[in-house]
Amino acid sequence: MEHLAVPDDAELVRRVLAGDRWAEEALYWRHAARLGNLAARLLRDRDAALDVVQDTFVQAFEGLGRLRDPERVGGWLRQITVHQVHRRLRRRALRRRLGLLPRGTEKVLAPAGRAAMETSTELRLVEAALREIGADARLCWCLRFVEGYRVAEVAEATGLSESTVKRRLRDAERRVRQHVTSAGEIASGEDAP
Amino acid sequence: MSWDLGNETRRTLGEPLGDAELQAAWTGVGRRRAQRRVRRARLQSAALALGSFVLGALVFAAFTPWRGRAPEALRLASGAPFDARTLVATDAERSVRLSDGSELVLAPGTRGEVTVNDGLTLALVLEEGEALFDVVPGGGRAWTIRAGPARVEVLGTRFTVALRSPETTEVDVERGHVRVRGLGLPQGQVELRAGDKARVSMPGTAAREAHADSGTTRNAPAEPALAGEPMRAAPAERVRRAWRPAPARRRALQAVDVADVDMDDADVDDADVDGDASAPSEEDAPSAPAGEASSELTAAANAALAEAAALASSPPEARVDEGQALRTSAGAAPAAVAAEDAPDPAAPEERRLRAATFLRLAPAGGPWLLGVESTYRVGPLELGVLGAAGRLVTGDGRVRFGIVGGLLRVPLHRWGRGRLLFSPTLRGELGATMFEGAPTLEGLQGRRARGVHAAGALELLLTLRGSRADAIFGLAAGLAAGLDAETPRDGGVEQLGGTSGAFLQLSLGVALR
Repeated sequence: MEHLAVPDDAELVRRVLAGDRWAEEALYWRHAARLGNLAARLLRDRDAALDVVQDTFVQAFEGLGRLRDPERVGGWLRQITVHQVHRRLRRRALRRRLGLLPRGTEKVLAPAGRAAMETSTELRLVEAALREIGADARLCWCLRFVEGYRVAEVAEATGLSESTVKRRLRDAERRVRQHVTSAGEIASGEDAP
Repeated sequence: MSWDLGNETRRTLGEPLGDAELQAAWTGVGRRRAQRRVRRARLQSAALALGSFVLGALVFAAFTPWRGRAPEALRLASGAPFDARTLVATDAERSVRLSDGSELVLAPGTRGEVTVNDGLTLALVLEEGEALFDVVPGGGRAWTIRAGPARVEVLGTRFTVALRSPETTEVDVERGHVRVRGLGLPQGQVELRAGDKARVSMPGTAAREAHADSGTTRNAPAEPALAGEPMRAAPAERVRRAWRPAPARRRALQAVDVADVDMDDADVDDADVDGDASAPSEEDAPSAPAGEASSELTAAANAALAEAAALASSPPEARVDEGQALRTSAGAAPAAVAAEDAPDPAAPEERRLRAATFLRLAPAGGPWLLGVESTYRVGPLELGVLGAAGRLVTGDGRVRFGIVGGLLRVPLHRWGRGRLLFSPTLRGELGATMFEGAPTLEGLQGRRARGVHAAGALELLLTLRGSRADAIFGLAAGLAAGLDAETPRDGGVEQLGGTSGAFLQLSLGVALR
């Protein structure tokens, strides 16, 4: 099959704004998987992640005209996604506080497929720790350490300043470290006297 | 400190979302945008309406002298209060004129009472006798007259209310329009217009008689079958009618049902909960005789298939985006597909799923990406697959495809709001060999999974007949989702015979219109 020239993001945005339905779909397929998987990892919930993808693109297509730099549509979409995730995390935290979230219904960082026992245990511990920290900190931590973003990228995606991101990361790290360390001690029978 | 979770975790967690789910999400994006557009349009028109109303009200207020007082109770024309004493006629007819110009004429021996008389309501009770009411319309006051088992609501008119016995009241309308309520009425109420007459009995029936040209008045029949338009059905019947699927929907569901056959499984009956939508057996399916109309359809289908086969040898350009396969808007899908149902043995419940699949084929850069929309039945539940991704591998006239994943939804018309359910048990490889050489309709019909075959042919028609694509697509989507679909002109489901026949007949009916 012959190779077709691939339009870049800016070109796609321009075409979407001109009413090209194919460009909308192309833009979607170019970014949806990445954003959806990001949301799924952040939320630990496949259905919610799909909702996020939908919300993100519904919102994006409506606000595309306001995007100043079409080249950066990817980062912009990521911002919307992270914002949507953040909203859901906050709502979830609120429901948990109000006791509306039944115990055991929350998803955990379950590894897909076969993972080393050690890794999956660690993931569960991390997840338990993350559940206790605020939505902001959790989001920053996941973006930084699960997704591997740089601090500047985390700041961009969350709309927070870099110093705030760093503060949140420090908080989150402390909690996660505490949690994992104490749990590890219990697990290995090294309880403090 | 630094966590070493990054790559390790990402690798461990994998990529949770598959193409099928993303395809479903994309469908959702389109749907939600459409909904928002509708909502926005509604809001705009509501805002416009509100704006005009407010403007109108302001203009009205500005140009209308403020009366400054609430409407008053009715009085007699003389100015005396209108009360119970005025509603008695002993041995002679008595006329009562009211301050709004309305007039009551009481027959001798009539006795009534005014129960409410304020600016908004005038309520009378006729305790005995007969009264003619000539109500001046536009008073802004609701008149109700209770008489025995009936309550008459006045809508500006001239009529008579007669209490024939404590259990029977007659209402006779000369002019205008009244509503009569009474437990004895078929629906608790009846509206009478000029010339109509109702008799309301305590436990019995009421009748409304239209004075025909002859001018004669029939006696009230026992049945509330009235001259003019038929009486509305009883509530239970109305509810039943409302819930009965429209003919088009019935046909669509039937078509899905008949295509819904898996020849391997013995428990087909379990899935077939509707008695009237039974699936044909395997024996009679492929051998049904083709009528004249259907041979025309067969020829058309074969021509389309031949065209498709020709296209298959020179695939159209595909729109490909960085390795992501896209459904094409312009490209054709030059292949029909056969698939064998290979349910996941780990999920015995899912074995009841029956595919009535129609396929959306799209050429991509290399293998073919495939979207499937299907209807399944699991016990009494009907589920629609929103999109399942599969891969088609083409070459030397053979096509294979495997289903990679699926998303289910419960049809909207059944449950109000569709819910996406991911069913990992649907994951599994389906492998099948396609036609060798050019596909034909007979070839399609001869296959086991006929629903799938027919759907493949349907898809070919869809792509080959550009302008009709939407119609067929809508129909097919309707069939697949069990939603209302347009009924084709002559949808004799059995003419082509078998499951694919039903499917094709329906689609061709639209395609050839």
